[in-house]
Amino acid sequence: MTESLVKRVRHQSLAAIRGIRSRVYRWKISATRPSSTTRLPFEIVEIIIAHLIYDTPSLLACSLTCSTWYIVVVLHLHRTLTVRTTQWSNKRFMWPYPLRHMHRLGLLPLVQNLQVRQGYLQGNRWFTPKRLDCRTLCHFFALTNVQELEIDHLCIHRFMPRIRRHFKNFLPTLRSLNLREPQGSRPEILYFIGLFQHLEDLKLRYWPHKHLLPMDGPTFTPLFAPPLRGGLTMTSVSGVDLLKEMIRLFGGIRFRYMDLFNVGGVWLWIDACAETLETLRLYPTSGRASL
Amino acid sequence: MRVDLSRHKSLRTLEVPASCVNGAFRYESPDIASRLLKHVLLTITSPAFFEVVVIYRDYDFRGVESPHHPSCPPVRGTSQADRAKESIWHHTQFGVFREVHKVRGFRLVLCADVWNRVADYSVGVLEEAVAAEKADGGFDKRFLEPLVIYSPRLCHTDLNQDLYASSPPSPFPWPEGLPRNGNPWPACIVALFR
Repeated sequence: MTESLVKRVRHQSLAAIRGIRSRVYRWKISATRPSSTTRLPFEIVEIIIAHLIYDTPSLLACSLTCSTWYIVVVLHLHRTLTVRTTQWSNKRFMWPYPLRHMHRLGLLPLVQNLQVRQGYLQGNRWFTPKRLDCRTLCHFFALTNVQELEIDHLCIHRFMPRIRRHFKNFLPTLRSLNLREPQGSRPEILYFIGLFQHLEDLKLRYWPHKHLLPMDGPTFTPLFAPPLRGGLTMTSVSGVDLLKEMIRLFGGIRFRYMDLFNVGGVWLWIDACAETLETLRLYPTSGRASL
Repeated sequence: MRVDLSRHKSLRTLEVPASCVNGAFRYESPDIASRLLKHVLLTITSPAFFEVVVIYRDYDFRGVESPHHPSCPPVRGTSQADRAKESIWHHTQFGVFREVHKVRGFRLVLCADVWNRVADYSVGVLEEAVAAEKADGGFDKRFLEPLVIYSPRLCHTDLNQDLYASSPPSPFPWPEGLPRNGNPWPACIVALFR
């Protein structure tokens, strides 16, 4: 989907450049000859920009050079959208204003990483269906290319049983899911994970002092068995029952990377991925993850 | 105690947070980290295993300010005493991995998993530590000089603020009510770290 989007943008930019060139030649203005940078192949420009993807000021400077560079840079600039659910330094960055601004600019399809984070001040931190009113839901559905989703305090049980309707635009594209302190029973959390048929990476975090145990509840059968062949990061999860249910519902787990901190039954998790595990993060002197 | 990685035939990398090794020193049991790591390494039978990566976070560097998110490098530099303590800590840590290396060979990698603002500073500190250890003769043909890498993390809220505060030549209309002052670092962010 990203490739088609890039191709479309490229065609548009090339058309724009050709249009500029034709106008320039027609008017015979020698001083406005296209610069040599516009003649660089896209691949070369992409390589140059790839060196700067973690340097935002440089990316912004590159986006000012010409439309060709802007087209390449814009994908990196708008790759990640972070929205705060509670008080942040500026209200403009609080839910749902960034979504609205990006929607107005037509940039939401470029977002590949959506982060719904809690701010550093107190407030209503829970992400419930109330946050997705009709107008916001319309903007939310414009996020059609999200591959990484990070949500703090997602109230899964409040979205049930129609959670699929709210997150339907993420179903075909999502590869990585990061849930911090989700609220819901174990079957509900697994149902939510099972919505995403191409899910590779999973992060599940609770605060160490809370050490929440996902409670049992009504049974929900996940719609898909996601491949889950990427990384698993878990913090403060009582995981033995969760592991058993994941193996039962998803037909086993096949993670290649594991980072388990303060997780119950940590070696059962590690053993469950014996055939696929390539990288293991160990906490040799910390709490329950100790050896 | 149940440590057995003998069934993991495709295991290539073991990651160890530097804070865990540091924690062992702090609680006056400096050999516990090396003992546990040796124990783990002895159980590894994977033919693909070849490296141990030590993960350094922002708080593993002295003087890195982190009252707010994200952290930033020490503005006024670090004191002599802090630098001395840090160099002793790095020296002891290299000693731990040198000990562990005797049990099973591996390539040591030092990875700075820090915010991008601290990246240059943290990589510089690690490279200095490696250079100092090299000067002391801490590395040889068997225990090679470690590789220093950087795993960048961006504060994306800052990124959003950058985007809204500056004015890239977007073909789309600029949102109403947002300032176009062209300043890539808004006053609130500058004030936050002043």
